[in-house]
Formats: sequence, C-alpha cells, structure tokens
Amino acid sequence: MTIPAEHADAQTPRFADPDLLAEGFDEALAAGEECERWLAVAGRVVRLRSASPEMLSRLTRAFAHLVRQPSDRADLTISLWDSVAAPESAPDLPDIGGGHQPGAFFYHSDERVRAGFQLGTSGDARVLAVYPGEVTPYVSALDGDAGQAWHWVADASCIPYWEEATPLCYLLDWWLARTGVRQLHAGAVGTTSGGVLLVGKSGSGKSTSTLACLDSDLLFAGDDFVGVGVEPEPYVHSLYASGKVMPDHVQRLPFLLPALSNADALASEKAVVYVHEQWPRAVTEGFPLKALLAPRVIPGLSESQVIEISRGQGLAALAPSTVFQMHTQAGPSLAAMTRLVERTPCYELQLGSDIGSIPRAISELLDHLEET
Amino acid sequence: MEGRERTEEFGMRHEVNSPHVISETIQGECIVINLSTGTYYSLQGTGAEVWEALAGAATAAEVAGELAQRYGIEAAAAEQDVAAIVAELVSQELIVPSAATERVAAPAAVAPGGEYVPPALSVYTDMQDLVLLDPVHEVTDAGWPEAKPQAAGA
Repeated sequence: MTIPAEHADAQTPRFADPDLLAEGFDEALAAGEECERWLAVAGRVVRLRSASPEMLSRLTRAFAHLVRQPSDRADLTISLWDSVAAPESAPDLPDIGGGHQPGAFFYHSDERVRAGFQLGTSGDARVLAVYPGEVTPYVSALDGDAGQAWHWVADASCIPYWEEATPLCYLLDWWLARTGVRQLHAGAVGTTSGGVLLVGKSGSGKSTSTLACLDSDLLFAGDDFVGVGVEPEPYVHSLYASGKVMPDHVQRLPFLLPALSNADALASEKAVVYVHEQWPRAVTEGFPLKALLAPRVIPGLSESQVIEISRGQGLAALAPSTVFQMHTQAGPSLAAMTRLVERTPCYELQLGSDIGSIPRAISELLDHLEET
Repeated sequence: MEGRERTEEFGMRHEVNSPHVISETIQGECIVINLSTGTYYSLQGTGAEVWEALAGAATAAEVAGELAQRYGIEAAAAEQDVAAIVAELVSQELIVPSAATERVAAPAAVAPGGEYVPPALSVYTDMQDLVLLDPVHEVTDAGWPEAKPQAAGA
C-alpha cells in the first residue's frame, strides 16, 4: 500500500489509521469481489462487507443465527479483507523487532480508534505444534464514532479454526462496550424467560456443561463468549453460535459426535460444533440473566447440583478468565463485571458423572428463581 | 522487622500499582488482578478492609490502628498482621509507594466487632499461561511504540 506522507498522524500509528485502512480495503475491493452480510448483534445492525466471498463466509459462519435482510443503515460496518490478491492493500505494520511470542498482541487506543495487531498464531506450544511456522498476522481497528471497523488478515485461507468459531472478538468487544454490553468469557443457556451464565477458566467444565444442554429443552446462547448488558436489567446477548470442547471430553457428549465440524481433526484441534447448523431451534439471540454458575467437577458425585456461593466467589470465577482473554481496557471491564455480579445471584454447579443431570440442575434452578 | 525499619514502613503511604494492577471489592471480598503477570488474588474480611485502606493511601499504622479498634485486639498484634500483609502485597507488586501526603479516601465505614481473622492474601497462578504465552503490549495514551514499561517479572 502506498502511504502518502500527509496521512502520518502523530497520535495514531499507521497500522491503525482509519483513512489508510479504508484505502487498503478499497484496493482489495478493486482486485476482489465485493460481498456483504447483515447481522443483528445485541439489538443493533451490523454490516459486514468483504472483498472475498470465502473470507466473508468463514468469518460469518458462527453468526448464522444473527443474519438479517439488508437494511438502509448500519450501526457498525466492518470491512474484511486479505491481501493475497492485492498485496499493496496490506496495512503498514510497524517494525516491532524480533523476540516476540507468535501470539503477541500489539494494542493501541486514542480518541478516535482502538486497534490491535497480532503477529500470528498463539504462542501456546500445543497450537504451534499443529501450526508450525504458520504466521497469519491480522489487524483489527474500530473507529467507534464513525461506526466503522476494519479487519485484515494476510491470508484468509490461513484463518485458524478457533478464529472461525469466535470471529472478530476484539472488534466486537470494543464496539459492544460502547453500547453498554460487555463481552464475557462464558457459556449461556436458558429459556426465553431467563437463563444462566456458565463461567470459569478453560478446563473448569464450562463448555461441557453448556454443550450438555443441547440434549435438553434449554436454549443455547453461546459457549465461549457472550455479550451481557447490565442496564436496565442484566441481559445475555448471543454472539457466536459455536461451541468448542476438548476432544477427550466430547466422548461424554456422544450426541455431539455426528454434529462436529472437525471430527477428522480431533487429534490436534478442539471439537467444534456450529450449533445453529445442527439445532437451529435450540439457538436463542438472548434472554434475561437470572444467575451465574461456576461449574466444578466433584469426583464421586452422580447427580449434578447447585449450591449458592458468595458474589466474590462468582466474580473470581468470571473476571480473571474474561480479563486475561480479552486483554484490553481491563479496568472498566472488571468494574462492569462487578456491577453485573452485584445484581446476579451466584452458584457453584457441582458436576456429577451423569451428564444428563446438568441441564436438569440448571432447569430446576431457573424454576426455583422464577418462583422466588 | 527491626523497630526503626518498621516505623518508617508504617508511616509510608502506598497506592495500587496501576495500570498493571486492577481490583474490585464486592460484599466484603476483594479480587485483585495483576495484568502483567497473569496472577490474580483474593482478600476477604480484614484482608479486603486492609486493601481498601491501603489503596486509599492509608499508612500501615493507620490501618493497624483501625483494625485494633474495630476488632478489639491488641495494637501490637494488629501491627504485626498488617506488617505481614503489606510486605506480601509489596512483594507481589500489587502496591507501590505513593507520593500522597494524606489519605485520599475516607476510612471504610465498617461496623465494629465480629471475629477477628488476620488478613490473608490468596494467590492464584492458574491463568498465567494466557498472559505469558500470548502477551499484550498495550500502549499508553502517547501511542505505540512507546510501550508501557513492563513490570518486573512480567
């Protein structure tokens, strides 16, 4: 991309400059095929436009339940492109020197934009073992006042499976925060009248508990990340209709096996299910939040059960994993989670060996909360 | 701790090691997160009271005096407990010396009485991988590449 000198901005680094990003996207459009998809996200209209139908398809698979007809206006327009067909369309990434972890995330914010870029895949050895030498840098940038965002990857064919399952999560986190909705690391299941958040670090049983509810009457609003608004009442907004679970845990959810999108890759990937594709009527766009549940495996326990815990314990289960996963502007995020937990009763979901007892325990809790 | 050293330490004011450290207190329980190291902490009861007071630039002497009065314990016992928790909070880089010359927040309105339990810091390191493997180089308002100075041990 050719960058005129007059675009240089003392406050905004070039990789995050909205004018330069818009130019890059236009160059990609000239070399590609324009396409778009419209979504309803947390009650607002989001337009995704891309220079690559394949990229648009891959990055909207998890949003299938939120797709809407085109509208005459959008609250947020996200421009998506890669630079395979038009190398000059790539953002001007700064020289950051060597020695950084492959998953290092470089974040910038100023009065106009929030932006970040990542060098490539995660630095996790388990990921690097599967994606050796694969470097797929990306840039995300949001100009919130303008309602514009940009997301570039070097090569859309290299978008990893976990990004496809929860795409654009930084952009959505930044934008949703402006609307009073926080993206939280949590699963969410319930009914149209109310549901629960399932919170905790990876390995706590959060995903297993969430996905176990697909074999019940409970509705699915999300597994890894969901949006949650605090005012006027706590409310869960579905973002991604995807679920991920460790391969060795999926054996405990045999009904999932025929529904997996990557059944042939479980030796190296988490098991992924696109819930809307398999159980479209089981997916909800949201519900009032009634309780926060922190799953914990109890050896020897057969029937799952819930016991009330303190709000502090609930916050400790929710906040660190969200803060460390979402990285940026952690202080306001923690404050918002505290306000949420102050208004939401917290429970430990003690997981028994009978997987079917998980949705039963959640349903019984929701019934109890409905009565009281 | 030697008497003179403790006296100096007890007169010192601290503040939260911002922006590396964030915290919130809810219903008497405090959660503290060190964004640089990926470690998080909890303080309950007297621990949360001590944290709130120190975060408001109270000296250790002021905190110990308030604990002794609130719980009806010996001043020496309160000083010993406060000295221990302050030392731990400093060693974990959760609080740093403050330039404040007086408290910036009023003492917490906590009802007197109740069973005294010495303040204790619970440390959780189970999420450090998220930070250490995929680190964040966050920038200041001045903008990247003027990266924030890394906390020691980050």
